[in-house]
Amino acid sequence: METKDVLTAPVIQAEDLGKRFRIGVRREKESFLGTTRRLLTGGADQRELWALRGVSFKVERGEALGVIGPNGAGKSTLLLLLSQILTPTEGRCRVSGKAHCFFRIGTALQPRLTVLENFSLCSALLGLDREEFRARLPSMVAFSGLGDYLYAKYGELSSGLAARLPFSAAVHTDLEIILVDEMLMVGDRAFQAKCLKTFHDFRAQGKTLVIVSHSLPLIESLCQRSLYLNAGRPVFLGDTGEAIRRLVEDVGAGEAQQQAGGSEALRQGFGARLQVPKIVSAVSRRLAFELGAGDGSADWGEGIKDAKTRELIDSEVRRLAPELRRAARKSAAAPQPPVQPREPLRDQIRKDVESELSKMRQEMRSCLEEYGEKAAKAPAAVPPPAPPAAVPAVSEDPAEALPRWRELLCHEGAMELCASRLAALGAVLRALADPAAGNGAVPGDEIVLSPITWPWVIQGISACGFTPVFADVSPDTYNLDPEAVRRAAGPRTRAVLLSHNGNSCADLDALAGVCAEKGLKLIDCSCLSAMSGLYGGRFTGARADLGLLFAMNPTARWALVFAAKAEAGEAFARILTDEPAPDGADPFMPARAQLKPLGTAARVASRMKLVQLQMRDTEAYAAYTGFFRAYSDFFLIPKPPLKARLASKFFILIPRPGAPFRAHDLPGPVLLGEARRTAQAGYGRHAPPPGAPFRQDGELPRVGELVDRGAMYPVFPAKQDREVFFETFSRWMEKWKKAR
Amino acid sequence: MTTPERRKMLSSYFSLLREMAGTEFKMKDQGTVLGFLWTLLHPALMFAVLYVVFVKWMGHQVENYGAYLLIGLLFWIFFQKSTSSALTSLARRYPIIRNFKFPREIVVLSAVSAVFYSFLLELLVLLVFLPFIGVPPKASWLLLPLLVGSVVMLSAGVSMFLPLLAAEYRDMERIWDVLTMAMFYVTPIFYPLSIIGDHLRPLLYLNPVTHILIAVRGCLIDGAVPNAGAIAAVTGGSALVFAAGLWSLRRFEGHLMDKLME
Repeated sequence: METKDVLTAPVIQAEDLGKRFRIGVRREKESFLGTTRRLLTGGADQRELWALRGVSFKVERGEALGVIGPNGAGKSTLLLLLSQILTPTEGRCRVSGKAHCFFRIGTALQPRLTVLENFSLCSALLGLDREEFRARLPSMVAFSGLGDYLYAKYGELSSGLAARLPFSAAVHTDLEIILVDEMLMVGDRAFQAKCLKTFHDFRAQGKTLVIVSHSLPLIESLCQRSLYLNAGRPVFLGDTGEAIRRLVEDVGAGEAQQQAGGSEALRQGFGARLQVPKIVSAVSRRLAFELGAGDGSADWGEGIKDAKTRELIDSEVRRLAPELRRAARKSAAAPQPPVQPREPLRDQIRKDVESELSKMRQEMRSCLEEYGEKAAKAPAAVPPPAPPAAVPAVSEDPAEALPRWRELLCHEGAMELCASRLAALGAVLRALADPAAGNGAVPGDEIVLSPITWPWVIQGISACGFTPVFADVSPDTYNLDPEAVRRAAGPRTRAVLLSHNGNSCADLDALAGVCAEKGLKLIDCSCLSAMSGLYGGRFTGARADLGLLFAMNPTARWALVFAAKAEAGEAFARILTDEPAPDGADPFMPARAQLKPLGTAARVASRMKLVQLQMRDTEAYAAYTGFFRAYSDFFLIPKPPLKARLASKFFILIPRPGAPFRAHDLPGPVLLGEARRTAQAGYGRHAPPPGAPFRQDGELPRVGELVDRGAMYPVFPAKQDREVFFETFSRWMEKWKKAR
Repeated sequence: MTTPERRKMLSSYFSLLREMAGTEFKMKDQGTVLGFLWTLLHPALMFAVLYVVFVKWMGHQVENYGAYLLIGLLFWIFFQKSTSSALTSLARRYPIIRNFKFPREIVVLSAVSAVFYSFLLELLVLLVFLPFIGVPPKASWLLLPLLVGSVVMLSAGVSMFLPLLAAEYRDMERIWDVLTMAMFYVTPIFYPLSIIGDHLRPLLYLNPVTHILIAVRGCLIDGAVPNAGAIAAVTGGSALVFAAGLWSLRRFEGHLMDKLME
């Protein structure tokens, strides 16, 4: 072949590709007896399954092809065929150039070898020889950020760190064709952003990509053409937008069919296999939408990006599939039972978390009883919290909403009620641009914040034309570090946005000092749940130049905006509209709250007043601080500034790097990962939408620590519960103390 | 393919082989209390037992029975360990071969190489030890590398077939256990050939390991140049087995992957 041909010919050429697996075969066929039996009976126990059939496509050099479809569509089989690990049963597949798959690359690694040895193994597997490996090692290590861990055993890394190793090894081998299977699901958001950038770089370098992903936004941003597979058959090959449209349509149709109760496909043996993934993806789509704060602004792949949840659903499907298949066969004869209406999924998850918590509480108590020491002390059931002594009048009068909030927050500046948290954020950001209320910031200016926040905060900042700049948190307060803010602030920085991370409290005075010094506005963006703490005798929210306060419920139709200066009231009056935003309009459009939600706001203010009056919870939180301080050799715990008194519902602690255990080893009702995110309505580390500009002040090690290694305990308000918890925990800690 | 390309390919092939063999070797004794010492301890203990039991009986038949037994044991243990390790190698390394495309024989060869590392070490200790039990160094010792080469080739060749059979039949592991145990007794490891009756002796000569053992003992203990014809036949045969193993492993690779994935 001539050179010219080599350059212009497609790098991947699949013709009528098919792969068949044998399934449902009995176990004994692997022994001599079984094989003999199979030969004699003519293989009656076997069934053939075409995982993939009749797939033809070409991929040109430098092109990126997306492959989408529900689970079990044959996507992974296709990648295995392209990487020549499996041989096709029929058809042909020509791949010219070095092709490797990124998926499950970590499986090659040996947990008991060091990181360096694993780098070397990984590179050798990806086809590098000794010399090349030595030459590239420095950049590999730099990319992965594992420089400090080179001689640590690979198995001792946290899973987030561990995922970086194979990825950076793969990035540094000259692959010509890159096959990607759901690789972005690992690592923290910053690393994911790095990966995403790498894929864009690959495209820019003219490498060929084939990407299999459930994240449709990712496919959309990277691939022009996509192949939509369903049940091993190609459904559509062409423009990505069209492929996604068809997939979404089919998924919806699948669900509708299921609900109608008489799907034709269900009646035929393998039909169930197709239906299950369809249902699951439809369900996950809805789940994603609900978790995405219901504001419609988050892309619907967002919520389900959490690999753990997806794995959970997948494993459930795997477990259920044989059962469903059997049921489907039966259903050919029997009429289908009516489908149960489903509970909204968010509520389901919340319930799960709650029942998990109460189960753990019970477990702890029974564990104590086993020791037989405090059995008499521990009450049989949790007594309900004592009703408040005096209930102040609760008003739902819309007209009282603003005055009540003013009184509660001791606020004298401007204050308004907006129609949603998004509208409030929009109002604050527009007020920042106003010379009277803010400092006349223009699009392209920067706002410093911690990446640990709600996804919509970063989306809002990007949507209003500002550039988010991520700064690290302080090891003491878990909130924006004044020093980090000082470093991150550049000539175009106009504001600092504060969200109350870890329900702790930032050093507000120090931050205000930095803001004054640099001419920045301090924006306070807090959820009511974080507001149960006091700073200098006043609630922690509503102390900044500008700010918003919103309810825990993401669908609440009211949120507070305020400014320290009374003159800002005019600006707010200009910015806010009375019209409710039409459907599909900019969700960050600042609109005033409607009448009924105003009543709710008034009621909430009354209730908060109660909290402020009693401040019972401060005692609970302080008890936790006091208890965990005894274990400060093992944990980092929040050390709020002196002026603060906290009353949070959760207590966060981070096992120190040298501690002999990790967060997931901790006993009792500890919340990690998904449970933590669910309990806090999606609150976590987030990155800006793909393509939006952002800046970051270094690697943010503290943020990573808080997100990856932090554990969260619910703060039990009842004293007996706390004592049970402390007792159990200190017993658990004893062995580690002895080990020291 | 041009020469630099081929050289590049070979070099990455051997890098991978080295890397995998190194991993295998490091993982083998990890976590055991004596760790790496087991490499030497296993043959030493086996030697001690066999020597105590048989020295009275065999000592009359064989001059310098200690050296005779030790050499036999070392070579046999290498053959037995490398083949059984290779037999399960593909299943053990399934996560890697499920995700990476590379010549599959590397997995088998790395398993053999890991055992070969320990074998080399044992041989070194043996050579240092021999003069102390009455076997002075001789010029014929220089032939040893050739003989070691042929036993490695033989083991590697046999090893290539085993994982293929093991993927087809799960029983293969047990069967190979029994087979190697039987072979231990029909190979002159702890007894001399002379105690076998004349009519049975040709049967033992069918075993290639027998020829290698005779040649090694000849050149190490007696200082005699071995029977060139027999050695050439064994080496040539080993090379043939190796080539056939390589061919079948590559030929049935697709089938093997399907079997492993089931």
